[in-house]
Amino acid sequence: MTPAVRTLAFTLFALALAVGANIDHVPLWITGSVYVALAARLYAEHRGRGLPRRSFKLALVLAMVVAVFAAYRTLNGLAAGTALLTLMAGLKLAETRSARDQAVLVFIGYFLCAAALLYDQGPLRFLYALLVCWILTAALASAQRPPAPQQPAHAAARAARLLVLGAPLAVVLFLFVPRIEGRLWTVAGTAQALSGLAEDMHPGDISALSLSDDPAFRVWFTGNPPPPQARYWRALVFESFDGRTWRRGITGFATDLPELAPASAVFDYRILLEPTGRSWLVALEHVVQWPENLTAYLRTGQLVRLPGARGMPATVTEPFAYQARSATILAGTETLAPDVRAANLRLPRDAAPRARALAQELYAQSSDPAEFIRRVLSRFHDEPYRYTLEPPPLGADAVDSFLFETQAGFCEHYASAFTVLVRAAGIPARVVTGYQGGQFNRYGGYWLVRQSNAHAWSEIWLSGRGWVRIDPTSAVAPERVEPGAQGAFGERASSGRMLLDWPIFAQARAVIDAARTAWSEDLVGYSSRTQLQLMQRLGLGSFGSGALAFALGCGLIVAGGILIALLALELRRGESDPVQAAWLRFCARLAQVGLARAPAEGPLDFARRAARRRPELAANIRRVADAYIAARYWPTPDPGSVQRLEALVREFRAPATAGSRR
Amino acid sequence: MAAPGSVAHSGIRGALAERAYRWSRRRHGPDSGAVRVTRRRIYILPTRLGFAYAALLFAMLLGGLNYGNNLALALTFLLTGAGWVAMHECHRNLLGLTVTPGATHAPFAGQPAVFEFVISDEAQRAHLDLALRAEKTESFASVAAGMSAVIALAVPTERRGRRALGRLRLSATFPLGLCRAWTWLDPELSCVVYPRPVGRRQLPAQAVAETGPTRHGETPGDEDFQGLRAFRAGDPLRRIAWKAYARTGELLVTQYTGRSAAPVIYDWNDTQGAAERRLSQLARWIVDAEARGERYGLNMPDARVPPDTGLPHRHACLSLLALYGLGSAS
Repeated sequence: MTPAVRTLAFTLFALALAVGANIDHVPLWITGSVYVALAARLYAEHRGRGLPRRSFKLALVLAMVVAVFAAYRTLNGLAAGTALLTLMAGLKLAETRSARDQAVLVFIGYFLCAAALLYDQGPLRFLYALLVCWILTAALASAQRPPAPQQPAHAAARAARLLVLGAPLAVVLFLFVPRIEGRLWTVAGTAQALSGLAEDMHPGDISALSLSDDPAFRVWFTGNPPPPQARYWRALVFESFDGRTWRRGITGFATDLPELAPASAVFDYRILLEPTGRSWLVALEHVVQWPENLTAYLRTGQLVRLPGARGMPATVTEPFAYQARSATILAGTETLAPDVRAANLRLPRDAAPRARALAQELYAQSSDPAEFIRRVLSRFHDEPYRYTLEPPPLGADAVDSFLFETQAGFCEHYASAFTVLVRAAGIPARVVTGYQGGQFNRYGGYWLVRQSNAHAWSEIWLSGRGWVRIDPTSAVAPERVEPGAQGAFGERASSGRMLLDWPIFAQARAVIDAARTAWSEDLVGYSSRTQLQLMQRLGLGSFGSGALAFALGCGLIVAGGILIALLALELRRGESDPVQAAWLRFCARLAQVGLARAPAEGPLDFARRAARRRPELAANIRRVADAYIAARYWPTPDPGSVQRLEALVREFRAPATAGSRR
Repeated sequence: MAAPGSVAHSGIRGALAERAYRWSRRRHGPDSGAVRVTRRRIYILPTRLGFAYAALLFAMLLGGLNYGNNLALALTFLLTGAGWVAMHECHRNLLGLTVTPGATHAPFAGQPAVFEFVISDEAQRAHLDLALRAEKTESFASVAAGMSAVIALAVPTERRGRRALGRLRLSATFPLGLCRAWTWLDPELSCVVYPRPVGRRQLPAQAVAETGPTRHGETPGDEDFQGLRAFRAGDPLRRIAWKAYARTGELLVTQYTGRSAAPVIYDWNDTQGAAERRLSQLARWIVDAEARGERYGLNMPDARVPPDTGLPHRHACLSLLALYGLGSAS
């Protein structure tokens, strides 16, 4: 292979890796055709074939654009853009010959790496992108050498050096280049279905989630965390029931906050929510303070994300962090608006006749609503109700069938049936879904709440107390809401998960999760807010908006100083090639005694001259010169020759003569 | 690729390049002998590729900021850092070099004139992919650590006379081709361009000097071998005693008694026609005479070269022809 072909092959290899960074979200036919083009280009070069004609290339461009348009129905947007760019790279191959064409390929490769990170911000993808960028830079260094391309291995070392020495500057830029809130432009986003709580509640939704170990969100408490029995994270409130499915009811933003009881504990916390693809946010119980520019408080006591500045979507499509304050006990001075009361009492006319009868019977036996609630809950506790992930199918009327026939279900069955019973007794009630519990990660100092913590419960309106949380599941399976709820289900314990719950594995998982959290918190989640905190920590808070510019300037000066110092250090350290370094050490030793080698003097000439001047050293000088020539110039150097040269140079002594001392 | 500051441009770019050159020339004055490339005389600008790289990084920056994607930004900044280091390395690649004019090889008109330059670094650093350019000729070399390199520039010639070498540009786009560092050198070198050696005229009889009758074309003094002496620069290669060299490792040349090698005087008056034709004919005779190892002399209307042999003598004769009538007597 000629050097030119080798360099082209190297560039194509780097491009193939860059295309591979997007392999999981670009259609396979696109990736495949680029790889075919790569192979064809290399084969043609190997065979010395010419490049395709102009008309052929033009036809390819048209076909490509049409194909992408057919696949995506647009040429705009991230996905179609990435696909088009990938195909362009393939097309560019058809005319790649010169160093400049190869540079275009390398640039496309850089762009593909960045595009891959827009899809996935995981550490593995980032490492892969870094690796590919290194190889791309090496390909650039290899191709951009007049008069002849450079060996890929040398170019790789050169590229690594550039990237490593450039890292301090990159850190400074990363820390101090101002981030923007919101977006400069928006592109048609792809609505992805993410796992998590659904917008409405059917029986069976949450039990499907409870098998998922995926994190739902992480919480940092500023002070003490609430006690385990109070760790209810509300997400969605359902007011409308059609006999089987619960849906969100009245919307609208709350105008004023519920008043708190004086004794109520207050919790400040920060939540990092995993992407949900929805607008709802989770929050602890009764929210009393929230970031008003980012989120809104609904009348149902629920937080939702607002569309941000400059077209930031209202849905959580990337990890979203927000701060809030919650309380546990309300003052109870609130009144219920008539429309809300009506919505929270409404039941489908012909739904659940037996449940209605039961509710009226139990209500008649009770002196007040609180006693009625107690009676309903004790019925759940005393009758043979079971808590199971795999309930038998329900009959035509879901509530009656569950209450009187199957008597087996998951939290959403209990919450739904309980709410229907309470409404039938004339007490306003609603269903709430969210998460319950959480696991403390001592390595990261946060509480991890997984999808398996998803839960459903009820809230009832008691005049004088306001909305009160009732969790009917706890009456059936109290261990569900106690700490360490995992393993509460026979099904899970028997499905080989026990191994994962061993302390050592649990610990390892905690460490890994803490690392992942640090990754998404500190690196992926670095934002204008974090920048502001950093400025304050650096004591630049009083500079206001100029602080970043100031820090950036200082940082650049420092990074520049570091680079210049490193380069100067290297200047003194000299050559890294061991053969050359040994030879230069030898020359330096002779120079000390007044025998400096002229720049243009070859090893033989120099040795001869030196031997003439210092006859007593002639044999040693000659030996070093011969060893140097053997190590440097022999077509197939013997691997021992370098060591031999180094040993000879080490032992070489040139005592100063009377003449040179003078 | 059109380079910043390249010489051969017309229009606005050419005018700008010319002004820039004159400004730099005023900054560091004329160069004579060895020139050390200092910080003061290195200029650096992005190449077209460098501008494209900057545009790419800017696009990646906008994308990263827009999507609030810190990893894409990290990648962008890392590449920015690499480009920045590449700029420093590009500058350092020229820094500390010493360019010393070396040998010049005088050509015949129409052949390229070769100027050699020795490039070295006292600090013994390596310097890679250096390009030396004069007019439209560019040559490349790399200086290994602690070594020196020779760059030869072959510039075309058209007519006899003195061929001046214009200003030189020593440049490098190492390591990524994103920027070009360059320095202007103006060593004011020139070389003599001999007349084209053409002509079929027979040598006139009276050209033979009076010292003795020697028939033209006969190899002189084969039988008058006198002995061996040490080789001196300019001795014809055909006189080297190769067998003796093989035996002793020393270069010796055979010497002959001068008696049978009677000198031939080539005279302007022996030629006919236009001046250029005459000069070409004389050049032909001199080249042939030297190749045969003869002793020869030259008589011109304004000067004469006494008979002798060897390359310096040949150069003296051919130079006289080259500069005939051009008024530059040097």
